[in-house]
Amino acid sequence: MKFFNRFYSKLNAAQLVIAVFIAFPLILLSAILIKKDSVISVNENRVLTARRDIRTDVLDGGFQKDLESYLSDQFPMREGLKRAEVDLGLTLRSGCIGDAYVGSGGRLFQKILPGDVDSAKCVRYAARVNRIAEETGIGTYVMYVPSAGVSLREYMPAGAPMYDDEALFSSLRNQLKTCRVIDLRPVLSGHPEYYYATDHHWTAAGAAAAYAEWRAAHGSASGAQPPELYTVTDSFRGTLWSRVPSERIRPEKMQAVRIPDGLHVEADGKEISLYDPSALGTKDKYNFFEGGNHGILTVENPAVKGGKTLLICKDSFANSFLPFLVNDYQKIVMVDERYAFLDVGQLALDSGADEIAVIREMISAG
Amino acid sequence: MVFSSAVFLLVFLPTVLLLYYALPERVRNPLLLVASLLFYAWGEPVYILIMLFSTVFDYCNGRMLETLDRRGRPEKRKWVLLLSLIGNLGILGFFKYTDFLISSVNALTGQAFDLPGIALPIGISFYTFQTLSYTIDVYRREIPAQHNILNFGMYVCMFPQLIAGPIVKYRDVERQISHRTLGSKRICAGILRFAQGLGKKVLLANSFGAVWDEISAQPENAAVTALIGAVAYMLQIYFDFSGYSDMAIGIGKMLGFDFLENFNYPYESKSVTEFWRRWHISLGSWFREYLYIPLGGNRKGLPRQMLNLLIVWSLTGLWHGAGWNFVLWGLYFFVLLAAEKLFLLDLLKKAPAAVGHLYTLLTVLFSWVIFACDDVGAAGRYILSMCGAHGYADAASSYYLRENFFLLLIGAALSVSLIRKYAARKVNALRSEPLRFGVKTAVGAALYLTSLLAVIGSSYNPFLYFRF
Repeated sequence: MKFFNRFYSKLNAAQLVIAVFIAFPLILLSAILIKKDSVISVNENRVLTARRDIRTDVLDGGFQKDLESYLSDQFPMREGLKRAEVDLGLTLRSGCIGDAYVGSGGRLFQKILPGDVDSAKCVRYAARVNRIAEETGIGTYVMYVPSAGVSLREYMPAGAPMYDDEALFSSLRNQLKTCRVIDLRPVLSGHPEYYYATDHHWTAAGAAAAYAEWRAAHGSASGAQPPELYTVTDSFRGTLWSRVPSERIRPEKMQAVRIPDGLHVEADGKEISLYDPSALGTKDKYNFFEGGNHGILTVENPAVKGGKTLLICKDSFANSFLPFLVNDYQKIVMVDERYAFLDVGQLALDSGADEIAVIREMISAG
Repeated sequence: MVFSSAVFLLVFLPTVLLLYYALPERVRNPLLLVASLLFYAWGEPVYILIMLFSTVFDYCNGRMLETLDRRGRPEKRKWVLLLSLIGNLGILGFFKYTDFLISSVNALTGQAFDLPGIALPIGISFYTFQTLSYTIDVYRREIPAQHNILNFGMYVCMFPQLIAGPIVKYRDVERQISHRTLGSKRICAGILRFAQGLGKKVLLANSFGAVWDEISAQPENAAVTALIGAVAYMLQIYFDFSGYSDMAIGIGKMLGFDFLENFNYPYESKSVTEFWRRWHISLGSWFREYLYIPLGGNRKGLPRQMLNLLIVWSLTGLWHGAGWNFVLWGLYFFVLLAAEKLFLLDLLKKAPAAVGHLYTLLTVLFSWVIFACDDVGAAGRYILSMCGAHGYADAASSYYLRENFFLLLIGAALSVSLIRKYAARKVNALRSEPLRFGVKTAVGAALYLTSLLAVIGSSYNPFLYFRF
């Protein structure tokens, strides 16, 4: 205390506070300007605003917006600070961090509130699917994947609100009179192993369980040997982890089903492989399946002679489901309507599809 | 530019302060004017012309009023005042209310006139009221006209209070415009006040805003959930707006100005009348001084007083935003204030204090729902939810209560004066001056640093009061 008092009396403490208040932000600013720009935030999966990206147009606000982004994006130890904030949230047992629910054992869930779901749009999409089934006369299967938060309510923070899957499923089913609707809710419910703990997608085990339902809907005898899964990486951290980037949430394993040799896979006119091991070295490891989303992807399996053709309308949930189907069809055409704008009914007729399948998360409207 | 942005905190404020303290006193006003124009142009590079027009227009009006007096033609002065009123209110009306007027006409008559889609210039409601107060005060001969246009421009455009108040009357800072003292203790007090306001905005208001945004976006809520959402908004708007005022007052002190207080713990009021003496004080006093009293106030009988109140509160509602919900919000307060003037205040004075507190908090809570929902129908639906139209409580209610319990508790505790007064008493009781200073500085530094990191870590920082 004596030292403090001496220090206080010798130096004008108020002036010191003023000097620090002015100098501290300017030192931070200098640190931002001096250091080499970070280009990419791996966790956020986005390109950071760097000096060279700052636009010069002042009148429409481009310069102002970019400078603000630049200072925030290039702030020293930005990611470390974010992790510290997340760790504090985990320590305080917060049920929701970065718009993701934190459930039991640190399991993360995508927060999808009733107001986040455009039910009318989902219903319109279901009605369109039904119309295609009616007009083309092609047998159509619809498999809606319930979100992890509604399948694993008991693992979520108690009472954490999610959309009403019962009401949504019922209104979608009402539209799909001509289609065969495969209800996955009872199958996936209560099985944490069917969903990733750090990502919103289902696991290969979840896709395998759905595949068993798919087979049953196609009249295959139950009790068949389940497909063999193997681990492709044990350091998977998905998109939800990027929102809650804490080392306290452990990486998990990602599995895939074994696929036969000799498949011919083409995506948007380019030949690719069904599994892309190079994605395992990146942040977005779920892109292991087909290298991510494509507008149109076709898989031909020459080993299936005289087999059927399947047209799949899908979102990313189908990416890890597709490998289960390659032994059942000679040709599969998979279309992602978020990237390919085309007439699905016409495509079904043109590709000579024997079946149509809609495989997507329940809330994904199309 | 907003205070809670990286550009303001890391570049603008320290640079302006550095130059301001380093340069001689005579260049400080021009420096402040240039800095303020840059601050405004950062967000409104085009609309700055409107602000400059207002500045020159009212500067000329002030000079003209003075000249007419000097030349012995005072009877002409009222025409100058009328010109100023038409000019200022015309600009405000055009930019703020044209779309509202046309869409209302369309709704009433079934017509489909095109909406011009005029964007609202930031802060126009604040600086228009400031320039109007100047001209009216010169007209009333309460203050002399400002002869130096740079000084006048600095007053109108001064960045601390430019975009979200408080509304600073010219006469309150007249002397400080030409001469102000800068002491290091005073600047330090300003820094601490700024840190306090920044913390209110970034740490509290934004957190409450997230709760309100989430709950109010849902189509249906149980009563308890809706109530949590409404309380969160009630705290958000308080910490947002009073935080902004704290920052403005703090920067003012750093620059040598003393702005009047704009908030005085409004949520501990025992009546709505008292609430409006404690909430956005500068706006309430503006309307009282330049509208209510000139209309006759309470001096012309009860019916006239009620009419005056109706006019003032309809316009107060409209000042806050061009929408029917704001008109309804103003009328809601007119009804409450009229009832209090007629009988309710007497009843409340006789009742235990808790009754007054509860009545004020509840009526103000419902008012904020009307205020927050742009659509009157949405406000109605939300209020119905608060009253139990979708059940009284469900699992989500317990979730929201559990998740936000401590946040709401901290917000509630800091929105009244009790804890603050207690803390101030404890700090002031410390015998050692260095220790007192050290404690205050440590609290300010912690608030500033945490807020700065929160600004960097989050892009969620819209100021609510921008739309006025």
